[in-house]
Amino acid sequence: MSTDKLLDMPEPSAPPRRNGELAFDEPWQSLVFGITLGLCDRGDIRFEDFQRRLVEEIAAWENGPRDSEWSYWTHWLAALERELEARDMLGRHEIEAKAAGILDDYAHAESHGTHEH
Amino acid sequence: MANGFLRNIDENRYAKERLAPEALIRCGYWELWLAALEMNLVENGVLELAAIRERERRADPGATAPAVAPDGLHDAIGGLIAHGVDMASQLSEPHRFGAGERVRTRVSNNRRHTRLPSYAMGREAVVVSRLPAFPLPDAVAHDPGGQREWTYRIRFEAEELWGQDKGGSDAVMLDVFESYLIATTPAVAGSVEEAP
Amino acid sequence: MTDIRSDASTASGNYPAAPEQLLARAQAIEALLKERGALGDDTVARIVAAYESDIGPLHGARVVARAWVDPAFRQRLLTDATAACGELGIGGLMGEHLVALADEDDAHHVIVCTLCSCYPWAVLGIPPGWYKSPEYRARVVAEPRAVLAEFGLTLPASTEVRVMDTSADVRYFVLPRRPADTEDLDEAALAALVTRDCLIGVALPKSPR
Repeated sequence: MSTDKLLDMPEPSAPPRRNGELAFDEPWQSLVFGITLGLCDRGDIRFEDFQRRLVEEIAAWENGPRDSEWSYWTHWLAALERELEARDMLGRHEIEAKAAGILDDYAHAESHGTHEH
Repeated sequence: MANGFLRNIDENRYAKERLAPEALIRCGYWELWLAALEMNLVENGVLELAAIRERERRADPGATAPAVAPDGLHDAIGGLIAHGVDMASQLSEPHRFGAGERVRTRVSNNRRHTRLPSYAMGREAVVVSRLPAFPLPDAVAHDPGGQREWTYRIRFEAEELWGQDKGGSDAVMLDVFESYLIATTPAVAGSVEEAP
Repeated sequence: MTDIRSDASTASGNYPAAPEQLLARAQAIEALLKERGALGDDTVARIVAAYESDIGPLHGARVVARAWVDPAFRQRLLTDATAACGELGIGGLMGEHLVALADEDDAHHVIVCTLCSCYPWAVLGIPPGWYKSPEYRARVVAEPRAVLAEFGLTLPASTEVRVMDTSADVRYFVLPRRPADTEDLDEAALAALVTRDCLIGVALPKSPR
């Protein structure tokens, strides 16, 4: 199952008119960006709180052993989750459970995708 | 400009910077969310925690209930993207420095919230262009009154920043607030043209 | 899924690196927030679409192409880029104070924000990942030629490289020089030669085929 079917979002492919590389390297990056902006616009989270957490994430990476590769959007995702948890909006266990279910759906679809029905 | 969210950004930034290392995310990149909140036309409160808990208890984990976005949310987003937020202004007093003037950047202790990068502290430069006045991040972090200062585009020779072995004939330009600059020569009136 | 500490200490070191796992995680967050009414069905998609397709490098490319064909527009662009871009319907968020830095025969500009990742969103859309990286931010100001060489751009010693550190509220983009042998191209064809990388200054416009 392709990700663009699941997301029902414009796939970040690169038609000639885009004049250069993609703004996002992966669909999950644009997704976490849009989620964050949507929540801030609604007022459900405050941008300065999210920003503070993002600064902490980046600072921790910059001051740490740097044994993981720099990934700006991973810091963003971490900051978003910490803010959601701090506001009792979503907890990591339910996120992980839901994500695991989604991954199971991928695997199930792939393993059955070539069968005749 | 009396702007509650801008005050909060810098207050929070300053608070964090006293704990965290110098300068990470402190600039207009986050004005996006500043503008979003400021221009938000949709009056919505934060979700009631009790209601969330109640829905959690009743919700089927596999279901995805269709949700309707609040009225006006999409128009609000479209509006802020289209119009932005204008932070510039004029001041009653004129620019202190003019294009072509030689200046020196101040040396700032790291405890202040400031927008002068450390590589550029205590260096000689030339003013390239006068720029509009903007809220001074240093002041806004402390005093929500939002002191504004003229800004300038200044130019350092690479040699000045990195030493004679490096940089060749290259240059670094930087935008600075007026209080970051110290005069090194008396201002020469009327003899220089302002660069575009 | 890897465990993530939920205390005040940072968590991003504990995330998986595989894009499909990160995608599932992001989808989980979106789905749960939709269930709880915090996001509409297409809130996220519309936000991303606005930044990916409606505000993109194409805006900056149009500005450059117009400046190449219209000397009066070029002059207006160099005098007041915000107003000039506004003539083409470009501006708004992050584009409130724009300045175009014109490359010359003997001068080449490249843009960075060493303090964070300031960027002219209105003209260039969302900044590329490398632009926000600590490596680019630290190195381009100190050794611009080495960084440009890594992007495949080597400039003669007679060309002055000017690094613009976007440290206040003005947002910059580069007005590159018009490539040779383009006299017979119309504005749209010229715009197609302008990439985001050359508006940042780490590349030159493409040559006509």
